[in-house]
Amino acid sequence: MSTPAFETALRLGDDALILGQRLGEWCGHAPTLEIDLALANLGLDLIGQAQHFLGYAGELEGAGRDADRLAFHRDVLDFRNCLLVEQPNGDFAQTIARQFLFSTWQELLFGELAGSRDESIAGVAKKAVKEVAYHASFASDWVVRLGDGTEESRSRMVDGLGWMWRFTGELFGEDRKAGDRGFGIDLAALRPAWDARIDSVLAEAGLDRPAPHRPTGGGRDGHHSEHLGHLLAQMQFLQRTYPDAVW
Amino acid sequence: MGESPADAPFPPSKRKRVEDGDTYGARALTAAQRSRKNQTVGERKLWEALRKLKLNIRRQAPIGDYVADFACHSARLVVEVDGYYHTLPARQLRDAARDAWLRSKGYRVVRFTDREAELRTDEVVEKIERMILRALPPRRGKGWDGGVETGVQAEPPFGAGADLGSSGHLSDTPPTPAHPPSRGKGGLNDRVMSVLRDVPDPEIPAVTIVDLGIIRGVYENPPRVLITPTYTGCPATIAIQGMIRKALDEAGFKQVDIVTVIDPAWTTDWISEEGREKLRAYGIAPPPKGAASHSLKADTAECPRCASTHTEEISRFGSTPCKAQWRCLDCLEPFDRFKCH
Repeated sequence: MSTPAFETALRLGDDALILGQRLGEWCGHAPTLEIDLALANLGLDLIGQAQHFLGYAGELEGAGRDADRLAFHRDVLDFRNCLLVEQPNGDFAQTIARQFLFSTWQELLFGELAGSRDESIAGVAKKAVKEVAYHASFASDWVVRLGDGTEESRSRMVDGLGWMWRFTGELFGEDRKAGDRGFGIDLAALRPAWDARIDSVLAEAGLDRPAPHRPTGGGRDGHHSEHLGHLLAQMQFLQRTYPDAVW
Repeated sequence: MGESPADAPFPPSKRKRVEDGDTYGARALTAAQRSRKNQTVGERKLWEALRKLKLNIRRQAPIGDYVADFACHSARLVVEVDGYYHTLPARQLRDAARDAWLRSKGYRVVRFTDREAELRTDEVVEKIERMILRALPPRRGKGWDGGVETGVQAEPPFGAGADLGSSGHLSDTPPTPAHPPSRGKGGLNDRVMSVLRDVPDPEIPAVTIVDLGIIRGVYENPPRVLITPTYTGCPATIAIQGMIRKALDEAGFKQVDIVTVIDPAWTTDWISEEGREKLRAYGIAPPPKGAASHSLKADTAECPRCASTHTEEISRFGSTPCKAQWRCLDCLEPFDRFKCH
């Protein structure tokens, strides 16, 4: 049942879904109205991606599960998102650190997937890469503003990056054995371009790259942090309590 | 209301109430009485011509709490004659809500500008007459010309007159053609497109989904409309699908499917010239044409109010996924700018 194509669609969909849900938690709580709107916009784009990818995953599986079914009727062990996206929002700097590292990677990934032989994946990637460019640029701007801001903002940014950094190895499959069939592309090949972009933004922000860290991973196999369960409890509450309720 | 011609083809009992039993409130009645005395030149000229048609058209007709400038209840048609203030954003929002309510009651709403009513009265009257005749159920049209008998299916559905713009305004420029195939006048493509040209964007009702380039094309075998979402996660996509479905069904195109395609991805370059103008008039700075490729660093925008280019970006994200927030440094007004995409 679990073909590489299904696995790819599920990973892409879950990354987008979980981060979209995390960003939604900021709604009404962000530091300013503009940021509130921006984070909600990002979240909306991601949930749109999730709808497409999970819908496609359901088609590939052929077991009658649609995007909603996959989103709301799976438990922690069945989720295939990376650990980075399930990390709690923390303060604004931590949210920005997570977004910066993820969106920069996602933009490169979608650029690559736009040329995929799988037309459904390529179609979504081509469309979404334009939106993700906005996400990466938004997050980069804030990394510079916070890093190059006050003592307070700088130390928060350093802390945020320090925490999130350990989850970036998983993005490039560094936590896994070779021969992983997942994205259908060579994830490790994205690393040099990602490093270059991250470094140039950090340089502008006057920040040092966090010390190398043994990559923490396992999300692609369903081994998640405790945080995902809490997130799902909130996200899936309605469908768990009233299964198959519709709007 | 004393104008009803004695030979009107409806029993007198039909004259005093809206057909499905909606009663109109006292509030609407007095408003109607008031505005009958304050007609514009356009409205007066139009009324003089319309009453001669003897199609049982009423002026300042109360429907619910609203008062229609002109209404033909039997044809479920409302005609509005709009002054300049209907181009103001706040007014357009109210108009959209009002139109939506009227539509929910089964009325079709068509709008003409005051200027059109005054200067091009004959054309406007002809269009209204055609719409009414097409919309009336054939039986009740006893005594009217046989054109009614051909019904909605054989002829383009009402309102499909070739030069009826998106909101019914007479337009001098032909509507922008849909992307792919045009199959000659009266073909499925033309007929469906003319229905779609009346479907407004739910978030920005000043423009239609055709203006925005959401419609990819109309194809036969099997009959289908291809649409593309502007943004992957745009919540309006669902609303748009619903509105298209409703418009198609009402116009007798139940067999036409709606298919969503995402590749090639939508770009702001697909917004028509007419759409750009409408956005500007609505207070949203349109994206420059051909700017999609270098979308991110959207450097300048022209203030839709004072046309100054002395403006700055406040936030790259605005009230909807497709808009950014800007501010004019001359007139100091904030404004929405359509993101290049």
